[in-house]
Amino acid sequence: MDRLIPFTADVYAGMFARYNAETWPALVLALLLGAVALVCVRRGEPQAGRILAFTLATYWVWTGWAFFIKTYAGLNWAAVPFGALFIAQGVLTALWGGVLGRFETAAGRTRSVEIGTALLFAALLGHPVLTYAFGHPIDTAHGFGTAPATVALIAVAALYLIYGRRVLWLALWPVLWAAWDLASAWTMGLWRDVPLPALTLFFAVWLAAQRLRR
Amino acid sequence: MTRIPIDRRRFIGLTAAVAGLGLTGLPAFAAGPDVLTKAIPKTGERIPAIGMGTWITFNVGEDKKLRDARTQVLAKFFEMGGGMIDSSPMYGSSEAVVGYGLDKLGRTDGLFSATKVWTPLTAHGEEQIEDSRRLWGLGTFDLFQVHNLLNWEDHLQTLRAEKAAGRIRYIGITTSHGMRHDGMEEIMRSEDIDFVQLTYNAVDRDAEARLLPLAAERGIAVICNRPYRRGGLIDHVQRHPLPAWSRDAGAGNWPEFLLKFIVSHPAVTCTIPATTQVVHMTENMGALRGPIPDEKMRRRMAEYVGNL
Repeated sequence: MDRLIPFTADVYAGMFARYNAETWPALVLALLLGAVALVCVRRGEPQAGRILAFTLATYWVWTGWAFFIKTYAGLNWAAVPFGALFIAQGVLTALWGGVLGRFETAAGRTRSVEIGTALLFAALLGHPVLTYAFGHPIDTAHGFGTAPATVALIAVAALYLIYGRRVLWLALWPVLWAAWDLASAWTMGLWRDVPLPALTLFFAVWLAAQRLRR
Repeated sequence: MTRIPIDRRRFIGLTAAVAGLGLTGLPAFAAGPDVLTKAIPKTGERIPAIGMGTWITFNVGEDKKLRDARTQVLAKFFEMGGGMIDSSPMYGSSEAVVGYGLDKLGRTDGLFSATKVWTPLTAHGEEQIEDSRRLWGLGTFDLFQVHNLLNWEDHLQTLRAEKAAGRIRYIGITTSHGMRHDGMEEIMRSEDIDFVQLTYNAVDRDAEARLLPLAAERGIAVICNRPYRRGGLIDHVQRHPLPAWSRDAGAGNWPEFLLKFIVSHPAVTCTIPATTQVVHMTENMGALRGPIPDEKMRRRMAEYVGNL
């Protein structure tokens, strides 16, 4: 595992600080898009599924390009294939949920929507709170919809906001990424980076178990 | 830039080594007035026995503060007689940061530049070689190695052509973590190479059985990576007191103890500890000075570390 992480934890954190400083408008846009999508889903708007799909796809593609390929690749050769997979996930999400309209929102299924909403807030606030609690500079926090760990958690949250088994395959890459992310954080001793991928894994597995049982 | 200048100090060291070889019949350790150098078997050129690795430690990206901090490490390395710097395209921004440091220091005297080609694609390997020249700011590399034996057949051909053209002085192959020793042995037997790089330290001693004797037999220089097991070994031994007899091995601290064990093997040319800190660089480079352990002492050192 350590052969795939060719940098120290402080260098990794410093990279996030620079990435956040250089791309902060993207974070603002990601928050706006996320808020619009969530309101549409909770209100049961007719196009809510498509809006959610395109919003999520934007997060995947942006993070794959701006974070992995343009930023992280300077430190880690593995970033380019990871970035390509993030972009591929974004394209598939846009096709499946946006173009083909297979995202049927779960408005009315209160419990599922509440879990999805809670996970979105965890993706928004979780890492900044942990960053502060662990005494790290706040500018190194992982932004909502612009950092891999938050995007994977948002993707699982989105699956709680939509209905059915037909979308479960979209959880495969978030689960694989979260497992990798968790192992990386553990290897580097970056304990503040553990909870988000752990949440992603737990809630993805739980969702799959529930929907496949029905 | 690519050759160690033969100044008075090095000349005296070389003379002492030749004299030592003549008197003892042992492989030459050119423990000169202050720096331990060892010979590259194919040419007899001597290089300092302690070099510097860049895996993880020099991969700091574009962070200027960290780049400047690594430049200080580099300055201490040269100040204390260091020569070989080893890197790879696999190590993220490490090559760029080495180049940044060399440029900042404004000197490459004494530098023995070593990097690698690491790609499954032959044409991409040629691009990597050019990239390395640009990143280091060097026209000629002292050593280019095929990283982890990846596509070694094609890359060795490319490296041989570069060597024939005078753009590379030595060529070699690498492994690490004790892996692919069988493949390395096969190449050492069948190909004309100048260097091998492998993992060897006080607890990872598999290379002693076949590869190190074969290197001596074939006249191949040996670079030892992971001397501290990425810090795990040094962290472990430093929880224990240094044995009183370590002074007889020429070791005043644990880094010197571990590094002197490695470079005192007759077949070993150089080891490449990596660090982010000037104070650790000072400790590492301390192993270039003072007496080196003999075979009896080496056995005692390995046994002691193995029992910790």
